[in-house]
Formats: sequence, C-alpha cells, structure tokens
Amino acid sequence: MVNCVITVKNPTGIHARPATELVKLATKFKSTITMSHDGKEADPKSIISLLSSALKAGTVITLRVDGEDEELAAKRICEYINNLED
Amino acid sequence: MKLVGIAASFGKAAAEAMVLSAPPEIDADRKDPRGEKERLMTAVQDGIKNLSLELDESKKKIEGNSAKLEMLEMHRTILNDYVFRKGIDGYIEQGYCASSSVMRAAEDQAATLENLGDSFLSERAQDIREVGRRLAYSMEGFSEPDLSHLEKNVILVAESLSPALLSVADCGRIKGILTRRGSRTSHVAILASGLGIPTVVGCAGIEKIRDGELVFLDAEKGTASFSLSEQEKERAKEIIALYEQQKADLKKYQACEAFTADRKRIRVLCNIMDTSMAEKSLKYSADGIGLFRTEFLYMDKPRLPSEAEQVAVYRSLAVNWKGKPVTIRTIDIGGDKPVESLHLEAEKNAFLGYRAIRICLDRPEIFLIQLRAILRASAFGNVQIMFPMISNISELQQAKSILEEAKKQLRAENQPFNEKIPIGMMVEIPSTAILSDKFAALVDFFSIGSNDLTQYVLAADRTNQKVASIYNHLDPGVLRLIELTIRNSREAGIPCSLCGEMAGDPLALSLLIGFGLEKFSVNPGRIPLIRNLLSLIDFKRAQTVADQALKQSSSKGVADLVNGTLSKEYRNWLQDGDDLIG
Repeated sequence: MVNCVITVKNPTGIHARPATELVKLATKFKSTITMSHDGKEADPKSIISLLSSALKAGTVITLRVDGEDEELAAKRICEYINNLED
Repeated sequence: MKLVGIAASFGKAAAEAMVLSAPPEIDADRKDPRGEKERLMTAVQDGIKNLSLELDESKKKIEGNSAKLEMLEMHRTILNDYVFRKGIDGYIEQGYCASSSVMRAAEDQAATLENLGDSFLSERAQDIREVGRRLAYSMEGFSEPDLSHLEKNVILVAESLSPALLSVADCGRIKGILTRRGSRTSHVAILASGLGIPTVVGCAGIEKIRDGELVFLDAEKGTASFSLSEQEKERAKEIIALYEQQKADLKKYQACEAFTADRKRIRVLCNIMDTSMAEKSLKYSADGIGLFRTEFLYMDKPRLPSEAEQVAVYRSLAVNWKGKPVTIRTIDIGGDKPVESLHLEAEKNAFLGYRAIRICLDRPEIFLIQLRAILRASAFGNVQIMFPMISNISELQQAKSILEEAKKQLRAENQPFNEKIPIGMMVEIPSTAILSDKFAALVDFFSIGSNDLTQYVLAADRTNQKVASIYNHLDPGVLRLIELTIRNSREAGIPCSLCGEMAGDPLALSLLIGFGLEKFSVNPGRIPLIRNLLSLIDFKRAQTVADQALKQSSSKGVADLVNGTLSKEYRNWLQDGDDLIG
C-alpha cells in the first residue's frame, strides 16, 4: 500500500473538468484508491464521489493506493493534482 | 408586459417565442427488478454510445466549442459512474421501475451536491439531473425537442433549458434564450455567452408568453417584453437595428487607448467581481482594474475564504495584468450584500449601519487575513489596496495601522511583498468628499464611489423604487462634492478615479471630463462605449459646460444644460427610449 499527502492548490479546486479528467486517469489503474480529507472519503474512480467531497483549494488530501499498480497510480495522481492550474 | 430576470449573456433580440413544452411525468409503476435492470443496462450503453458519437462529431468540427466538449465528457463520466449506478440499482431493488429509479438516484446525488453550499458544485447538480433525465426519457421513448433544424428565428422560452439541447441546436436561428430557472453561472448561461446568444435567466412569469408571439429580449438590462402593440413591435425592431449598428461601430474601440476629441489621454479601467470579468477586460485592453469587489469571494459560501485562496485569486490578477494597476478593495459587505458566514444581524437601516470597513475594524482578525493576502499578491504585480466606506480620519488611521500590522507579520515570516503598496480610499460618504483636502494628504489615491455618494448626499436608498426619482447623480449637490474631491486630489497631486454607474452614463461622462477627471472605472462590457464617447468629447468645451452645471439648482437644470450642448452624434448613444417597450 502507498500513502501520500497532497494539497489542492488550484483556486477553483477539483470541480467539474478536473474531476472528469481525474476519473479518466484513476480508472486506468487496477488498484483500490481512496482520497480522504476531514474524515470524508472520496473514490477518484467515481465523479459523483469526487464532486460530493468538495475538494477545494487548500484541502489536504491523504491518498491511499492499494494493488498491483499502486506505485505508478499514486505517482500519476499526485502529479495530476499538483499540476492543476485554474 | 415586461418581465425582469437576470442578464446572463448580453445583447438584445426581438423574435418569435418558441415555447418548449415540459416533458411527461415519469410513472413510478413498480415492475420486476430483473427485467428493469436489463432495460437500464441497455439504456446506459446506448446513452454512452450516443454521447461518444456526439463527442467525436464535436471534436471533428473546426470551431470546437471547448465548453461543450467538457460537458459531453463529464456527462459520459456520470453515466458510467458506479456510485450513481448503485443508487439506481437500489431503487430498482425496492421495486421502482428503471426510469423512475434513475430520476430518484439522480435527485439524491444532485441534492447532496447542492447541500455543500458551493455555487460551482450546485451547478453540477444540474448536470446530474440532466444525465438522469436524458436516460429516463430514452427509456420512456420520449425525445426532447429537436432544435437542430429551425425554419425561422426564435427566442427559446422554457422552464429551464438543457445544455445538451442547446449544444446541438441551430444557433444561427436562436436569437435569444429566456428561462425561468438558472443563474449567471449555470451551464446554459456559460454556453449561451460563448455562443453570443442574448440570454435572460431566473425570470418569473414566462408561462404567460404564448408560442409564436413576438418577444423583445433586452439582455443588457435583463428584461423580456411581450404582448406588444404594433407600435411597440416597430420600436423594438428599430432598437435592435440601432443596437446592431452600434455594436459594429464599437468594434474599433475594443482594444485601443482612450482620448478625448482634443487628444487628452483618459484611463479607462474596469470594475470586476471575479476573474472571468478580469479576462474579458484584458481582451478590451483596459488600463487596469479600478475596482475589484472582493466581497464576492465571501458571499454564498459556508465559511470565509482562507488567506491561501485569496492569495491565489489576487496573485493571478497581479500576474496577468503585467504592471497595470490592480486595485483591490477590501470587503464591502453588509447593507445590500449580506455574507452568511459572518452571521451578521439584520439591521433596520443597513446602509447606515454595520458594514464594510466598520466590520473590518471591529473584527481585525478577519481583516488581517485579507490584508495579508493582498500584500502577498503585491509581490507579483502592481497591486493597490483600497478601503471602502471610510467616514472619518480615525477610521482611515486604524485601517492603515492594521495594514502595518499585516506588513510586520509578513516581514517576520520573510514573505515578500511591496513595501510601498499604494493605499487608497473610496470617497463615497459625504464627509470624506467635504474633507477631501485632509484625506488627500493621507492616501495615495481616491476613487469616488458615485452610487453610495449619491444615495448618502440625497438620503435616497438606491434599492428603494419609491424614492428612485430622488436618487440622481446629476443633482448639483452631488456634482459639487465630486468636483471638490477631484480638485482636492489634483492639488494634492494624487490620482482620482470614479467607479460607479455614473462613469457609464453618457450625460455624466462629459461633466466628469469637464471637472478634470482622468480615470474612470466601468463594467467590462462598457469599455468600448466609453472610449467611443470620450473620443466625441472636447475637453475645453466640457470644462465650460461643467462650470455652468455647478451653478445649476436642480438635476433637471443640469440634464437640460448638458443635453443642449451634446452633438447629434453623441446623442445617438443616449438610449432612453428602450424603457417605453412592454
């Protein structure tokens, strides 16, 4: 299992477009992925789950990835969230 | 009849109403869960297939509308979502039919998003409802009206309009959109604005409009008129023709510097309340941001925005405006602009009460966060800070000392900021205009807030229709204070601008030029018009007229005087006949 902590930096947070892209990315991996913050859990393989967790600018997320491709999945997802701009 | 809503995509149009009928109710008949799950699976697969085809089509088109692509992409992701599917399955297992289950599950998820209290996410709730609706309709064999082949020009009139419906529509024929629901940030509003279709949303009373009758849509003011007399119809057509002509004429003023007819350089800046308005103003090459109404970062939110969130917004403005002034006004809340998360009590006399700088000085912990954020952004561009609603010298001194405290904190943390950040104030309370010689010695710039100044000088609430005839910025009492403020700023050698409706009023504009004002801050959409008007004003002549205006005893006297001196070309831009319709 891989754990890491990331902060959402882009001003508008993970809204519609970044969430759509994140689901596309996450569903490429076989591992089970959870993103938890403030006692809530989101599954980046579900856009509904992502949107309802309201991941705004400044939200600190603990990412947990468990499965055969966990290393790569964690790396890609962290990169994706870190590179969000608008 | 005239209805009032919210202008969501600017423009004017007159065309026949195309009233879109509401789709049938979904029947909640209970059926055998097994058969229903199969029906659902087939419908979902068809839905995904159709969306994928649509996506491919859109990508192929040369002028790919990226907002549309993003929306289709998101809808496909929602349709494919396993959390959504689980919700639907749950209802099917309880015995609901597939289409009813879809509607229920979509409503559940949409309601969750709406309860988060974030305006962006609430709008996404509409997307989920839309995906659910389309899926349910497809199972019921109901297809939404086809707008892709229209025979004549229409104004769409609907309870709400599905973005998907609009995205496949024959947009050349759609001259306007009018809906009862929706907000300025709803998908339809954003799409329509991208397509340049005049749109009014949030408009109650549209059910009175008959299919096929002529509707005059003024999406500058946010109104829709119908049941028009022959005379009104003619007038509507003239207005549209003039409007189109003027829009074409204004093209050449979209990205140039502003000068008066006798070549005096005038700065035209913009008033903004979010970054999208700033982008629009950048396209118009505005001379800077004259007023950023930061209270909009605080409104409609469950909690106050953090320092980091504010820094992100202010910094992006500082960077994008590359050295042009970015004037950030600290929060002007209270009165007509309540903020939930501050838990302010309703006041009997809100405009004279606890608001703006008064709240900030009373709750410095909140004020400090904003000041720190503005200072931190000042390291990235020409950021200026401006205090609203100052009423006496002591308030200004307190505000400045809290700013000093913010600077001290940042220095201790080694955070970079501009030590010489210009500090300005709004002149909007009569006492500050009267004492503007004293205030000018303590700040780096003035900005006259003509809306509040007018209402305070005349003691006429600008939101109260019953006293609307008293509220008038051409009143000589108001004009004398404005002239005094401009004169005192000039003598002190500090810049002075004016932000407020007055800056966009063609009649007032020539007077302000005559008073010697060299800086205006207006809504982004007004910039080309103002440049055009300025090019028609002769500074020397305006000075003479302005001197005479100060000697008038009534606003009517001023209006008559100015009207009598305007050239015919200039008068064409005074569109005061529009209100006669409906």
